Amino acid sequence: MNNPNARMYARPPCAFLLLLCLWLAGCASTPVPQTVSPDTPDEVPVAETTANPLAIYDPWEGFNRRVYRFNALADRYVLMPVVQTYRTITPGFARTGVQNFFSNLGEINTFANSVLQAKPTSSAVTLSRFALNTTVGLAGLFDPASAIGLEQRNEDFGQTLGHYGVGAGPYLVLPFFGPSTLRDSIGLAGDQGLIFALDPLQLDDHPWARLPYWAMYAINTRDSVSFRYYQTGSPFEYTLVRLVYMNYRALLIEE
Amino acid sequence: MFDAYEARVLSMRIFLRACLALGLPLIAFVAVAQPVTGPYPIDDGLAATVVGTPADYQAELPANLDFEVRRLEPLVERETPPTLRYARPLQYLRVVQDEPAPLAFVIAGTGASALSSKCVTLSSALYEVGYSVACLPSPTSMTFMLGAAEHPVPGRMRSDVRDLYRLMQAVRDDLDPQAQVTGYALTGWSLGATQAAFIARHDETAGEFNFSRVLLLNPAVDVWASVQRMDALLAENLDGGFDGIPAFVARGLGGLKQLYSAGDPLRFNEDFLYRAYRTQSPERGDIAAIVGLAFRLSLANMAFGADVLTRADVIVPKNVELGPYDSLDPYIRRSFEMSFEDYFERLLLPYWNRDGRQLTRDELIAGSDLRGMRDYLAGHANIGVFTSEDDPILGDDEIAFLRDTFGERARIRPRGGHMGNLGSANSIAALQQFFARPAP
Repeated sequence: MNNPNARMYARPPCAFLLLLCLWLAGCASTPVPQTVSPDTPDEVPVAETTANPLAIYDPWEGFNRRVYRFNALADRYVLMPVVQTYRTITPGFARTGVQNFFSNLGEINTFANSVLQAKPTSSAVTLSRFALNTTVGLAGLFDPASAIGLEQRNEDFGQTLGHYGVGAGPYLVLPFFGPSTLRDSIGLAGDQGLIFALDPLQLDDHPWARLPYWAMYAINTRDSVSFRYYQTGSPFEYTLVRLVYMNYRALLIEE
Repeated sequence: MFDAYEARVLSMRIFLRACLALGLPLIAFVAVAQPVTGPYPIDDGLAATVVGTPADYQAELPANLDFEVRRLEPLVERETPPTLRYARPLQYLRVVQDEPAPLAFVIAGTGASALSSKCVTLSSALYEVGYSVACLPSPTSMTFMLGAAEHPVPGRMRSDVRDLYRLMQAVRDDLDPQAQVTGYALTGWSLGATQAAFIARHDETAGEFNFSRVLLLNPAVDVWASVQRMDALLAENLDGGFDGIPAFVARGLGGLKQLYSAGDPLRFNEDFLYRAYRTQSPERGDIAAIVGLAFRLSLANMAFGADVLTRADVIVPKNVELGPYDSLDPYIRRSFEMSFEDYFERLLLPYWNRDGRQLTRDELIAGSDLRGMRDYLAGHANIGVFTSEDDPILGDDEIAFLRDTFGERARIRPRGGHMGNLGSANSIAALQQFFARPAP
């Protein structure tokens, strides 16, 4: 029952993410994403369409909440213990290197989607970043591109679909990956498919490397995200996460 | 095969060399960087509350302590409603000295569990000056309401304090039999600080701990007045009330996105909010709304939990049995739209009068006011208080009360907001000094 080995790490407090998202309200005027079900008749005033203005179109909520719970348990009993061991045995600079490495691989998707959305600046910056970090940055372990002012872009296939007018579709919680939508799930599959097809690490020639690659991918991804399930302490956490995710994606696409 | 091996060795060597080249100056830099000990820089109490301590001002605390998240058997017999089972089990945070040492209890503030980052900060500071530390969840947190509260409608000080006192005894019993505890100390922040004062007084008669020192960090003096101030912040600063939250979140994320494009996207550090505050200079009303919303979220959680646990029929209808995966959408509005006044009138007071008792509103309010124990606080040299003049939960008369009552045992800074300066090198040094002195 007791877990004497569980270590705690100083990390952003529970309210931090929420505050972060509520932060700086005065700084930008952005449209509010759709927060009511699309099958609501037009004549109903928005304020009356639902008992809950925080609601998002979520017809699969029962399924989603089950997956959310599954993710929380998987996180507590499998992922976080592994990540904590990783943090204990790996010095900070090495973890940064690993983060940079995967982030650099991710530029392939960012580039492809910048091109697909016909964004010349983003495409050029991303291509330059990839070229520089892959060579001078030693296969992406370092990030000299950011140091000289080439800031990382954020594009993925879900955003590309959104850019061309594909709606978000129902909210969807994916096992392990967490909050998503139908559109973003298809986007995720597309991005992963591209990496699989291009095979930049030539895993096809070194099948033994697949396991460590995916293991490191998972560990690094979890290590980079400060969110902890149920740390808000709120019974409404599912709804709050849903609200923040949908708003955040809408902003990325609108960019 | 050989090629692959050699390539790996080679790349490893390049990697290590690069790490050395880049890592050593970094270590040298870290070693010379000292926290700034000048006055706390944020001159607005609400902004300080949200932003906290900027990185340059933060105290250096020991890292990688052996913190344990301990789980206790529930102290009360209660079925966990399926919709609240996420908050199980009853957890607290502990770090224990290897040698015989005094044990310090830390009581978390409103809504906070023992996993709050403030628990980590305070525990590290106390550990550094020789204490073993146990940080306990607030009676207003769901985990406490489920596992430790005899009466799961928080707000009556006397009963909350008794629950805390019982939890502290359970925590003491949870220590290894070999661990030698040489004495006890007590601290807490915010509502937890007010509760610490009441616990200290309760201990005078109950006699389990005999605290050598007790420190109140940004306490509420009159809890009722403080929560009304928080309610007012939200009412006055969030346009559209509850319906305005989505728009507010969207605007906030818009500001966040601008910062994304201005810097390092994924790797937030402690300085992130301060940088944001400095560069974006958000409107004061929005900062006030953030403080009010954070408080309201804690209150909504607590109200929903209290309602479900006591089947009060205020938020969730009596005949509705919420399953573990049922949507809570129909109840969110009701929970969030409860001000503390509503909570008090519709949940707290009815609960205590459910069996025909005649507990009045005034008695409940007076029962959680530090001014009612003025003589006790003034007469005990082992109790101190830290707070700020611009703490938004306090009024000027309450600041004056603390100053008069505690005299030189009060450290009242002009700036810092509500807990904003807690992590600063100055505050931590003062705290460590308070606990390191020999008992008076």
